[in-house]
Amino acid sequence: MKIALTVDGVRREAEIDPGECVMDLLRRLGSTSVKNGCDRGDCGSCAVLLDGRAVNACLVFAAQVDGSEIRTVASLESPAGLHPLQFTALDAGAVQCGFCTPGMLMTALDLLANQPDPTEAEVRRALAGSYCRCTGYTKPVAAILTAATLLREARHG
Amino acid sequence: MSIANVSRFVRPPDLGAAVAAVRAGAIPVSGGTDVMLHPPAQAADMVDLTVLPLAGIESYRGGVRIGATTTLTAMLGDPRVAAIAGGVVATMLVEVGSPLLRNRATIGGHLARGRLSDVIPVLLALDATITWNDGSAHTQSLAGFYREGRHRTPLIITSITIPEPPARSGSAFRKFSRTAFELAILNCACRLDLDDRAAIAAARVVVGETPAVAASMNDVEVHLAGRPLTPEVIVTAAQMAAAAVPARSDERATAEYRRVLTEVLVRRCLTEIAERLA
Ligand SMILES: Cc1cc2nc3c(=O)[nH]c(=O)nc-3n(C[C@H](O)[C@H](O)[C@H](O)COP(=O)(O)OP(=O)(O)OC[C@H]3O[C@@H](n4cnc5c(N)ncnc54)[C@H](O)[C@@H]3O)c2cc1C
Repeated sequence: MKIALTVDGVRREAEIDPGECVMDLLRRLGSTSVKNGCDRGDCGSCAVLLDGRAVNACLVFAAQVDGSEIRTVASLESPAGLHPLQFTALDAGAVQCGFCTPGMLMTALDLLANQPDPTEAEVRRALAGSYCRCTGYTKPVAAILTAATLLREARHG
Repeated sequence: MSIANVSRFVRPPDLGAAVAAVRAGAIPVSGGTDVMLHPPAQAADMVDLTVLPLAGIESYRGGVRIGATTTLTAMLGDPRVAAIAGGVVATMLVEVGSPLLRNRATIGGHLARGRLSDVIPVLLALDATITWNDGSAHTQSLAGFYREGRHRTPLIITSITIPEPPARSGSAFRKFSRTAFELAILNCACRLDLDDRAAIAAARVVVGETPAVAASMNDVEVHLAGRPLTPEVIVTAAQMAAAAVPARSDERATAEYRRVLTEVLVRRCLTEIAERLA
């Protein structure tokens, strides 16, 4: 079957298998930042924004995203440079192998869009479905809190 | 996880067409988070329920009615859901999986799935009613729905209604798991309504993931009715629940461990309610 969707601001049309998941579709379309860690909703490495909310792309049928807008981590960087979530992750040493990072950043983006001033506990709770097997969580959590501060400051001039 | 055996993904024009497809053997899909993990054994059509106008939350006769394709996140963000029964539904929802899951998972899909659930014990304790369509519309208690095994028959759940408990009522939920993201080893939801003499007018004690979906502890509920909410009554109720719980062993815990947990969680829920109503 054929669907049309927007991926990182670019309209795409795709012939899909009715049982295909969004993660496999996105990787097939070239968005290889979307990682396949567990393929069953446990690890969060494939998280993308689907119409503004972060979801496990491995658990969503591609057939259900016809007409939707998807954002991957590749959309974060702008001509002005890296997104605060990206450069705070780098500065804080929150990235080692980097496999979980794209999903974790998209999960954090969702959190900060809905809770611009989260507590550390709220950040940790938001990352409940994001597994990191090398860096751990202390540095990613610190990076997200710093990014939240920077984003708030930018918003308030 | 892309899955095999999906012949077609149908977008029904209306509920009637969706019900007809399901009665003809098609698999209803809401968030798809569970369907994706349990592919059909043989080729089957899927019916996308998210294209139907089944999402939304509204006040209904003092309670709240939630459309079947409403996500758990939408429920969590709704002030009416946050307010109902002292906030016990919201307290429970933050412990269901992760935000990534809750952003996609729907209440209808969760209830139709009917197993391994933190949500169902709470809704049973609150005497929720469920509305579904199998060619005609029906409303019945959620307890009756599961007792009759309706969730295993071809139908489409359209909404769930949670009534507001009486004024002097308290509810509590406890999940015991290694982390909040993991499925519970056991969970417990309780509700107590008090009369004007502060005796228990009605009690609900529901234990979930025993590992069966949810067990109402009817003998405990009968025992509590008419008694004052004292520490002694709570301790006895928790012991009765531990003795009666239909606990089984599985890969997450032994039956013995679940019985011990039952006593602890029932005691904690009832104590929390007593403190709140004091
Ligand atoms: C990683 C992970 C962690 C989880 N953690 C928890 C947890 O901690 N606690 C907890 O309680 N649950 C947990 N769950 C379960 C989760 O809550 C359910 O998978 C989810 O709620 C199902 O909703 P859905 O909309 O995605 O259902 P779907 O996958 O769309 O459907 C589920 C079932 O219901 C049927 N169906 C769907 N909609 C309807 C309808 N309206 N009428 C009739 N039938 C319908 C489908 O055919 C299917 O059989 C977890 C799941 C995953 C994948």
